[in-house]
Amino acid sequence: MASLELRGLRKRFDGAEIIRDVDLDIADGEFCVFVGPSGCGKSTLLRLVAGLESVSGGSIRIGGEDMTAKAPRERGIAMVFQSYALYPHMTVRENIAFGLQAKRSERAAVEEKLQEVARILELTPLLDRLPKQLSGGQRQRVAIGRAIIRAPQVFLFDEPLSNLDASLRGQMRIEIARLHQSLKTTMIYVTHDQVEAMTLADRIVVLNAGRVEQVGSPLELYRHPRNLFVAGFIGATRMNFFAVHAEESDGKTVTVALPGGASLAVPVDRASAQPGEALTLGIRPEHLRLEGEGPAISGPIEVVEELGEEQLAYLRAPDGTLLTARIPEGGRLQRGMAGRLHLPPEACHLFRVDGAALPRRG
Amino acid sequence: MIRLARHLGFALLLLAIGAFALFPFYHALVTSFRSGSFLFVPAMLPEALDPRNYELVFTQQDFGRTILNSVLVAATVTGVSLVLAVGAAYALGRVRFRGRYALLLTILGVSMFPQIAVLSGMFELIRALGLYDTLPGLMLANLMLTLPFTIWVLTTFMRELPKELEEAAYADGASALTVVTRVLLPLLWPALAPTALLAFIVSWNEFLFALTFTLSEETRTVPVAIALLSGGSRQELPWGLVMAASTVVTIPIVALVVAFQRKIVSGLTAGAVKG
Ligand SMILES: Nc1ncnc2c1ncn2[C@@H]1O[C@H](COP(=O)(O)OP(=O)(O)O)[C@@H](O)[C@H]1O
Ligand SMILES: [Mg+2]
Repeated sequence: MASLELRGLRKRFDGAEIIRDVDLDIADGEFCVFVGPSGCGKSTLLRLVAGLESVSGGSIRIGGEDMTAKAPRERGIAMVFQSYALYPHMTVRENIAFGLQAKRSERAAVEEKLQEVARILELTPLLDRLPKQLSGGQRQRVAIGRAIIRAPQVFLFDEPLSNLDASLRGQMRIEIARLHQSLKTTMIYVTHDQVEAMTLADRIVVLNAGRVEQVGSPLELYRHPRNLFVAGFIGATRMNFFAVHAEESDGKTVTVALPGGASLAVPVDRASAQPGEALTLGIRPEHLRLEGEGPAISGPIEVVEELGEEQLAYLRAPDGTLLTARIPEGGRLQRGMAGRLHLPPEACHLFRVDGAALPRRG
Repeated sequence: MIRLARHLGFALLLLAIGAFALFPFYHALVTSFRSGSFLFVPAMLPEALDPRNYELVFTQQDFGRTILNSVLVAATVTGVSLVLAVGAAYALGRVRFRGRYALLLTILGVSMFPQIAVLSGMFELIRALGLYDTLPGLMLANLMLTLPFTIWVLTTFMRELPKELEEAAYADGASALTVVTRVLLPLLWPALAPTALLAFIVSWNEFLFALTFTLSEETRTVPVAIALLSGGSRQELPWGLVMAASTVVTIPIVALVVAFQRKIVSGLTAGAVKG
């Protein structure tokens, strides 16, 4: 087990900056998730930590020791790849034991650990099969077994569940969470799926174009996104945004004019805006209300997605933006109806033109 | 009707190719069992199986020793080629370094010189190393023929192997040597077997270097020995003897192909698994 420190980490591929100046501290035993859109450099960052790529600048410390120039096997890491990368010519047993044999461990000790890992991952009956004789989920478990048998200081997972179907993915997600609870080893987990990030992480690192946009617990990111990118990225259904203008501000609230004319006083934490300043208002689909008092936006309901226990309704606002609302009961809205959605002021987010969020209370 | 014609055409084509490929060998085989004036009978079928030529090949000279020399040279050249080529292919196919492409082209360039062009230079080299008229000298010379293509073929295959497999092994704590021998090499079997076979055949059939760099009967290899076979008189070319000797030396190659065939098949199935 070990903590991890990244300082000013950079990576260039053929002149293109893929990782730009990443500073990050991961505590001992933490489950840290790197999340971000495809191509933002998540895998590259993970591979830098693993030592599979050399850094272009900055340093990596694992367990207090400078590992920047060390080979992967000296770093005490174990990695699970997206494609599993099982050795096709070895049986499950040989695949799992490979890491220990590479360390020249004693044969009896290897066998003992192998049996234990196989038991934890329910692979015991499959030990003599070849990878091609396994299902996707079983291959995934072998890949995980190969990592845990080495008892590393840090586990690295690169989108380990993205090749599985939805139901298996949910199941494996729980298994990985359980694994972390029982092993208590530091884990870094890469995913582009923000649901996986929210459910697994102690702390989420949101990456965008090679930069860290925000680091925080899932709730922190959900409630206090630092900028437009994080606000739009975190959350099961994307946050609604529309352009507004500030009318007045007194340090505790900023009042803005909604499309359609109503004014909304959004509570903020020691922030202000010039009257007339262009802002972006954000509100999550699950926070829009059908009933209530206060400011609302009206318009025709253009599409309704019925999910049974809830509805996703799409309302065309007067300024032309399409608003998504999650209505927590099925069957309440129909396409073509005139809709009216209330915006609870305390659920609203405000962002400046450069994307930075105005601090919120709570 | 058209399908039948097409099948028939295809069968005829196969037959023609087969006949073209096999006839010389058949002719050699038939000739090797003939002696004296029978040699010049144009008949396609042998009249009698006369094993005299085979006896003569082995009694007239130490042909067993010659075969042993050839086996030694070809096996060593093949083994050394493969070991060096696997290492080179790993570097050229998997490691990014400056000048990699130039190096690959140089290796290809080496194999473009005709053998005769490097003969005198190679001779000086071998004499300077004190290896003239020795088997190691011949092995060294033959390596120049086998290394370029073994490196090229293995580099191409090495590149095709999924990169993540190798990275998984590194992350698993393996050293570069372990990665090559335990992960990449087993997956290279489908390429390794035929490449080894080709290297063996090239070395086995090599004539010019063997003729130039060896002198005594103790270091003679098969192609040279066959070329130096002499008949009863100066004017007589001992066709029967030559063919008998040629037939004998084909046997190890055929045996190798048969042995390797299984390896090729099993290697293919092992490599076909996607991680
Ligand atoms: N070995 C490489 N050489 C050149 N470019 C690379 C290499 N690896 C990754 N990249 C580039 O780096 C960017 C980020 O890649 P990656 O880290 O795999 O993204 P993610 O895992 O977030 O989808 C991509 O634009 C990709 O093209
Ligand atoms: Mg990736």
